[in-house]
Amino acid sequence: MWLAVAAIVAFSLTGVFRMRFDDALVRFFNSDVPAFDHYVSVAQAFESDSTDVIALFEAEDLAAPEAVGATSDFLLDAQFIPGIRAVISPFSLRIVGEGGVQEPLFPFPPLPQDAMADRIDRAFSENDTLGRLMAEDRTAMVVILPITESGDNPSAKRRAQLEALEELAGKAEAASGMEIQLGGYPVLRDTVQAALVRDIVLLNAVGIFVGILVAIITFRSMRIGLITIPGPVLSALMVVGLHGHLGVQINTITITLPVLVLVLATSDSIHLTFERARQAGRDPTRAAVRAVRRVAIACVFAALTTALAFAALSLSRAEIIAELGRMGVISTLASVATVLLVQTVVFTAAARTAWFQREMDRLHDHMPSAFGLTRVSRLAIGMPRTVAWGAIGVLLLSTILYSQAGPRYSLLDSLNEDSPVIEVFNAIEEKVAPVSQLMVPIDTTDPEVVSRVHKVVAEATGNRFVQSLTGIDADAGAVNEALPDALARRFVTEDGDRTIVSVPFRYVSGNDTIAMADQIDAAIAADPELADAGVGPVTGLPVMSARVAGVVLSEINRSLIVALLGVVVLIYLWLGNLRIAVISLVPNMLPVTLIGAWLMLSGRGVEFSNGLALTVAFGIAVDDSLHVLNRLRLAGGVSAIDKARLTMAIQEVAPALVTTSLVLILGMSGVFFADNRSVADFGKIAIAVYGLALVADLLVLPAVLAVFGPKTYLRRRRES
Amino acid sequence: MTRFVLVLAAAALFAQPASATEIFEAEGAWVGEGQLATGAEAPLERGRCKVDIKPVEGNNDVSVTGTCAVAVGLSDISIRLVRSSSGRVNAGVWSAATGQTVQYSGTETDDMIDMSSTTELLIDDKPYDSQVRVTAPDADSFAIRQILRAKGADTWRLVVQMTYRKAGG
Repeated sequence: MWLAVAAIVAFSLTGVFRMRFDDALVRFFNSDVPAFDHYVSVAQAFESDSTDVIALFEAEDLAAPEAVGATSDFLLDAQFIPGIRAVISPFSLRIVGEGGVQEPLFPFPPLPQDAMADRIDRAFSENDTLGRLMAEDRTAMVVILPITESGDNPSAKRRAQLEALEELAGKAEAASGMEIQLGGYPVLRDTVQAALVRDIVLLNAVGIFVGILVAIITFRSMRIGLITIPGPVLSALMVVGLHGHLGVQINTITITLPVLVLVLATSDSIHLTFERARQAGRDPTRAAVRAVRRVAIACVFAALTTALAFAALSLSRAEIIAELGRMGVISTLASVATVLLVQTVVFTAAARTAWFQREMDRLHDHMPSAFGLTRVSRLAIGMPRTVAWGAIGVLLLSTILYSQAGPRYSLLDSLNEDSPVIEVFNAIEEKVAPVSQLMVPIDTTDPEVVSRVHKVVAEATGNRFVQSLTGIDADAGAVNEALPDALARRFVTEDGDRTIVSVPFRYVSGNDTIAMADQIDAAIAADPELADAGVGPVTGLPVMSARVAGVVLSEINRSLIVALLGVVVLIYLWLGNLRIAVISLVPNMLPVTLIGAWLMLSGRGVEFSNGLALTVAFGIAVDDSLHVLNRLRLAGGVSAIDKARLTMAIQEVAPALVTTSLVLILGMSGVFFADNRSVADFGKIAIAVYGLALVADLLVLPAVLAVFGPKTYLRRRRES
Repeated sequence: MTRFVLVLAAAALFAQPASATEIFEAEGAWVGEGQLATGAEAPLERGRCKVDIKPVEGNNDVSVTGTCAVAVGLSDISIRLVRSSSGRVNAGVWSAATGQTVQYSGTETDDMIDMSSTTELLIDDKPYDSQVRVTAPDADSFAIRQILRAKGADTWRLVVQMTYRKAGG
């Protein structure tokens, strides 16, 4: 067994060093949903905003010579940074000078401030494009810098480009007093990725610390607390190692897997320790094996129900959700095997010491309390009908409310609202102009068709910044010849056969984006001149992500139903009693439906983070029910519910349930400090499920077993 | 539409040390600051060039590669410069912006290089002549002035006015 443990350690550590992180902004939506394929085909042919770094320049007056000089320095130097493919700024614009000659809007050397201000004001009246790049009061402007994020290690390339831009921005700020902030989707991805690295360390460190602390407090022994932890820590380490060896990158979705496994394994380990204490007085090796054998079945079934929830997710059409599902199944099953193996070894080894025997004897004689929560169970057994029917009523009501919670998605969900990235996004859109883009692809560059689409889109959106070949008064050939690729691809394909009409808009949420896209699609469909003109549906990262999110979120809800039914089947197969399997759904569904109802009532809706958390946490929360049922099974009380056996089972298992729930709840508490909002939301929902699950298993499960269980004592009493 | 023309290439051509005649011994990175025209008829605007000079064979053959940028974009350039014992300097200049290689030939003195194009430079299918003068205003820099005129025209237009210094210096 020691060799097996050593092999697991070696496997885990070698995998940890191969671990990679993924921002997953686009891969998140990789699916067979048609909107994704359409987006990919358009994004390959055209340049979208997904690789645009947007620099926001702010000053009291950007017409001041020092601001103009520093900005010009930034623009020239930025182009020398490897990977920066172009610059789009007000400095690219021309103005008609004296004698009708086109001149740069910003001449060199810089003009005096007043003259430059007059020149900019005149440009606003002559050129709509300036309004997309600069505020009319001259206090803010944007510079768009398409970067390179392809080839080997694209994140490292992105970081290098962003670092170089940050350095240039720092120089320009020092030279002019301007404030320069970087935004755009590459910055969003970079921030998410950096936060992932911090979060995985934080979540697992807090999980381990809390696991040890709760175990020490529960068992009132530092040593017992510490020997509870090796199995869980190695399980979490192995999950990370598995990611490394299988080449699966950690992303905002899979980042919670190691800590979920950690808390689940800690829960198993605590159950094992409780049972080992009950076996005090036996031969040490036999006591360890017997403890594991008695509890293992519940641990394995708890892992199976969790794996089942993950398996349901693996059926998702979204590759990244399916990947979470597959890794979840592998991780939970590997974890339970690891924790059972490691803790058996630890107990056997520790049993050779005198202090361990003494501690086990002490625990056997004075089992830890359930912090008074057994009173909750006494309430359930005292008035079971009230509690059972009340729970069913609440379950029905909350299920109805939950079913009304619609999907909600935003590309910015990964970050906290006070994140600098979001603040820059908002500042750009408030002070200058919208920067997110909708794209209308056209399978021709026929000027009449392009002009018509441009007009229809502008009318449908009321947007004066619609961009197309019509807007720049050029044909496809001229654009391809005159502009660098990163700019030309914003208008035409490389072969010059297809073009695009794009609409900048202020990104609020996925639902709003879909509404606008549908509005444009409808306007184009309603125009008879554009029938069969080769105009494709509206796309772009915001549209595609919102459409795919809608489909995937519905799938996640379906996955939850599959997991619920799967749990019924598993419990039936385990206990051979369909009635108990169905009854146990009540306490297991209640936490999910109550939180779902809150999501609906609070207007939050079902997001990726909370939808996934409900499914995954449900699988884990079933753990409590399984341990109650296991205790009832060991007491021989499954075939006929007897009050004494039910009470005894609850009293025996309650301390372990309370302790393991504390581990689950507090072990996940690192999420309150997570940099990724989706990680934090996932954890908060999971914590709420664990808390409600504990109450449901102590209060509702005994009551529904007493009222609706097989050959229950209440029915027997009534019949007699 | 703005077209980024070849003249940027010439701007980098003479990235050389203090004395204009020492280019064949020069090696390393140079940064040019000044003004460039992005087309034969376009107005001058602020530009910056970064070039790398490497000797090819002995001290009479040098390769210059680099990039010049203005606010609207940048262009790669590549130059091969060869001098003869008689004091003549010949150059082949390629620019990504035009896709053309233009030949130059001229004379080298202690404080100046003067060259004229020997092949036509085509911009929008129109042929142009070009002349370049390199001087060394101080010990750490040198300046380039390039002029351009349409074939058969009388007046020359200034298209490059740029001063180079050693990168990081």
